[in-house]
Amino acid sequence: MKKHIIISTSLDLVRIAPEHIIYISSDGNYSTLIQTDGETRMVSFQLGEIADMIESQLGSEGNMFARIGRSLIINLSYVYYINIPKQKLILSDADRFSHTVTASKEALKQVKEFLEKEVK
Amino acid sequence: MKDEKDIRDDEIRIIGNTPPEHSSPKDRKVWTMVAVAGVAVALIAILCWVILCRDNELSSDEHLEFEPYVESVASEQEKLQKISREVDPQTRGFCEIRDTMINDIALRIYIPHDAKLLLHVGCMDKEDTTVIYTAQAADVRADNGGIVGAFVLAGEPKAWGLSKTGYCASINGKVTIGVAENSPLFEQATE
Repeated sequence: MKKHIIISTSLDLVRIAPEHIIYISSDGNYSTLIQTDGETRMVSFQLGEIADMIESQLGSEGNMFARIGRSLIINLSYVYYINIPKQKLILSDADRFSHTVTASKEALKQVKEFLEKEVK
Repeated sequence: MKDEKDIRDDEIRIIGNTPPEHSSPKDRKVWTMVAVAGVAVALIAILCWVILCRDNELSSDEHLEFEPYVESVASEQEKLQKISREVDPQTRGFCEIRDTMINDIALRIYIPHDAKLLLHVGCMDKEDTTVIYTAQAADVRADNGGIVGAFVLAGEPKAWGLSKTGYCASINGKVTIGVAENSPLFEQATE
């Protein structure tokens, strides 16, 4: 059975396949999941806690996700465009969705270098 | 995984990229058992030392004097420094605002006088002059408008769950604020 990420509180539970998460953004003590089906889901966990859940539940398969600074976790599979001077990162499947996020130049540079290593 | 405080905005971290463990599961089990045994031995040694020390104290010829224990609830309250100003009891309720610094951090403290703490769900009426101070009592979910955490209004639970360890309660006129892993206030508020 394919692994899913499960985010559970005493009130509710979110169970989602990792490839359906485009990115997760931080909002203080909460995090918002942006999904490939267009839904957004707010969960009452900090971004660091979400990152820990991904790591503990997916293990090495969690490396499809990267924490970018303090406020973003992105699905590296959907990195479409990086522009360092404009601090722009577009996450897209080049079909149904496209999301633009902002990150620091240094962080984007590291993402770019990481992805460039994939093809070397 | 380091917590949020340790990651900077110009840093990235690939999740799940922890280095593989070299030891076999069997080796790890053995070392775990050794560590647990070591901790147990250390605890027993400390316990024995404490008991021996206590025995030595009791067998000493020194005359021990014990001061009588006095309930000091009032003195505890006196130790709390009052920061609000003195107010005539006849004065109509109002909210005092005090700006101060604690450890070089500027704080604005709102101190209601002659007021009662009430919970309210929904938007407040800005024209209501009986209200002297309002503050957000709970987080509201942006996706479905539900209340995050446990919330009781006039003895009736409106939301359940535990999102944070902080709490605030007004039960029969007594206001309690604190932080605790487990608090009986939810049950008390619904009795």
